Amino acid sequence: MNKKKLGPLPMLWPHPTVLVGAEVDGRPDFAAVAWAGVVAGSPPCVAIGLQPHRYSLKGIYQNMTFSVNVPSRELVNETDYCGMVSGADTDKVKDCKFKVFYGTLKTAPLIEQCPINLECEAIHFLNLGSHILVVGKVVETHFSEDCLTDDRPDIAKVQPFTFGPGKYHAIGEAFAEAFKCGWEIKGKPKK
Amino acid sequence: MARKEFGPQPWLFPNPTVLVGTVIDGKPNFATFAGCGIAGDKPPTISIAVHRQRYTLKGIRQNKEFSVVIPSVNLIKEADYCGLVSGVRSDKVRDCGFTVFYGTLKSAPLIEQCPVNLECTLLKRFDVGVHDLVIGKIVQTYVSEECLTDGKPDIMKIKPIVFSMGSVPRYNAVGEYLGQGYHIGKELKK
Repeated sequence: MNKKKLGPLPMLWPHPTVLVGAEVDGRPDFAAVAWAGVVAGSPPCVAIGLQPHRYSLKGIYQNMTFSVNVPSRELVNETDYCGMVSGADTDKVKDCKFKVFYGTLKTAPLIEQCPINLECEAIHFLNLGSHILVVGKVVETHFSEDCLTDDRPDIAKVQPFTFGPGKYHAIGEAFAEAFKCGWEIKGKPKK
Repeated sequence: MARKEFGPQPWLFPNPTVLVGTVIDGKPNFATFAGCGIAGDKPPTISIAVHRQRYTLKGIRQNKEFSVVIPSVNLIKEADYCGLVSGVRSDKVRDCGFTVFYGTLKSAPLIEQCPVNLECTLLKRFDVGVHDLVIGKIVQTYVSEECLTDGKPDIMKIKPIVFSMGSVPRYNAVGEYLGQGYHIGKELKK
């Protein structure tokens, strides 16, 4: 394959698309974030990249808590909207008709319509120039029961979507089993 | 919607599936990761969670450089394999038939067969429990020409892999187009 050099670019596909919730001056606000990832492990952590001027970051600094809500594809317009307007200028909860609820943390607003809600405590802030990387420790996970299969989260039912470059795409069909199909490269070692 | 509480879980979907390349004791190695994300864009930065026992961390410590390589769906077996075996015991480059090339950095091996290759230098590494969160600065990006449309990367040509969950862990393709970013939400604007 002929490769083209494009200079340094933040290309890591597929990006998730999530709604980060924060309580800013006592009011819930949600921002769309694609630069987010799992930091995994124990304790389970997630990382999100936010521009320093973002309104939600103000709320995270105020309370040291935030939420990560995974929207399903039905909410793609609302998600896009939450990435275009600032909570400083508008009430996104009202505009998007989000039903807000709270779990363990009283300052991490969660969205009823989103199938997955993570409540997080901010544990690290790292200044990376254009963005502040916020690392959150997940303290509770709320999952819609209709998105479970055999009591396990089922991405086919969650129907999250991906962003980039510039476009939203659905998640397609499952085509291989993880931690298994790779053994076809070289037989699984016998114990 | 009725909800169930699962305790703390890192369930932020969808997750990408990438290969992280390092040179360890002079030899290129690749390992599979789903715990990663873009951190910022000026400069472009990336975060990867690397379990402290992983061989990849040794290479990152040795050279302060690594690569992030996006495989397409046709490399699914190779991508899964690189997460099943350790470079301590296997030569994954040989087992997978990868053609390795280098760009600007001499310790960030890249894979010819993969449509997107990022070269990274180590910016920061910090402790998050059993993982080290590795922050890399992207210094160069290579995209296969056949994956470009009007000179821009096209996700439907790159065909990246989603790591997902169901009754068993699985891989998914990226599906149909849903709408244009910074546009479809406009109808909600008053």
